[in-house]
Amino acid sequence: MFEKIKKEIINSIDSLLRYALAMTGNEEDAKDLVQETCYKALKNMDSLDENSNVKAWLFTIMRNLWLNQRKRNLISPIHLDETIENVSDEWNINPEELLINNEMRQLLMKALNDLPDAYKEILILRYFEDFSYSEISKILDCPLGTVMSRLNRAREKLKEAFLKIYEKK
Amino acid sequence: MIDHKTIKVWINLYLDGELAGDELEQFKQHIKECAECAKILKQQRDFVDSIRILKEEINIDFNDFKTELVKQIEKFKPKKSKTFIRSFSLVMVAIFFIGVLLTIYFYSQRTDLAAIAVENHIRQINGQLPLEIQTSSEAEISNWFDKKLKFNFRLPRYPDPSNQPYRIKGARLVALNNDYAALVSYEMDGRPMTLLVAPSKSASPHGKRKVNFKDINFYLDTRDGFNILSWTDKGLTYALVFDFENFDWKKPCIVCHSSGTKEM
Repeated sequence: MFEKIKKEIINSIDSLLRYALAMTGNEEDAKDLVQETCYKALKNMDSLDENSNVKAWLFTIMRNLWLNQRKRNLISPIHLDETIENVSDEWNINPEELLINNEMRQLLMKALNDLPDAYKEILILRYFEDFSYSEISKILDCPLGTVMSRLNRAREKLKEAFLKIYEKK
Repeated sequence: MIDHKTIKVWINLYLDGELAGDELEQFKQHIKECAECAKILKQQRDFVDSIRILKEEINIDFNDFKTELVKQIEKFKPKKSKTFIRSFSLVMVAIFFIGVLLTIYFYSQRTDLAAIAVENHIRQINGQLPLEIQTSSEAEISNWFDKKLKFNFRLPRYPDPSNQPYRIKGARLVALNNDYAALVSYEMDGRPMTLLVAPSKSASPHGKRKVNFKDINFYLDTRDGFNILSWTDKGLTYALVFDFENFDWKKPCIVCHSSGTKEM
């Protein structure tokens, strides 16, 4: 079973690096975080069983390590009580257009990177790594309802931030 | 009819694959019938797809780091967990205690062969235990016991039994712990002597005095006016019962340890 878990850890390295890079914003810190995550996971492999979700478990480990490094309160949801101004349902940008338009893509990436960590990480977990709400609630250690509401706010905040930058152009 | 506000909430759940059952059916039906909500769904899907596209933007070359990390992961050998070590230790302790208990039980269940030997000796001399084979030949007695006992017991043979100070009268089986023990009857100086032999796992030697001779513990006792010499050797327990005049503890040993050369 250990060999199977090791294989799953290896297969998750890309996802972990992506998440770590988005969270730390720094290549070296991301590498350290992923390395530490893998080492901690290897040492604790015996806590898993055949049916464990190894990828979600790895993300939980990494997030906890990251929170410990960041002194937890810096990423606490209590900082996320900002109201969303003039939320618009409008999104008239076609994804194909985004694929072609490098500048537009970079603007959206900037808007994502500028989001508070709690919004950024939930968007990454959902849309980069395809975790379900239930898996996200375990990784973030929060209720399912919080996942839904935070994800909602994160989407709207990203949309708002992007449109602000885009409209200035 | 579901209102638009609810549908707007459901749009994100639908796009994230979290809408199911009746709600999913109602949602699909509403989108079919409501152009406004269908438009919002399309816009939101485009937005979510746009976020997904960003995944490819994070394309820093981590190849060297990954190669090294994969090597470390593949090399990693898990240590035995504390839980495993604790469980293993508990099992070992449990096995040890079970072993001790079984040993105590085993020894407590063994019969005092000296007491049984005296009892059989008295019954034998009173005629209550007639011999099943009457012969003075050690070989005949050994052959008679062969396949009747669950243990291997043979009397030592001497070239000229007529020179020995004792005489073999015969032998028989006697009951012991739902099995049989071997009883051999002798006569020495005109006095009867019996040797009772049983496996040491079911019978133990007993006596008030203990003498160690050639690494064997001999137990000496006197019960009901009879002398008993008992000992264990090579998986068998022996008890000799006799009542010689001019008593000498070593005297009965001659039945097995004659001065003549042994033949097996």
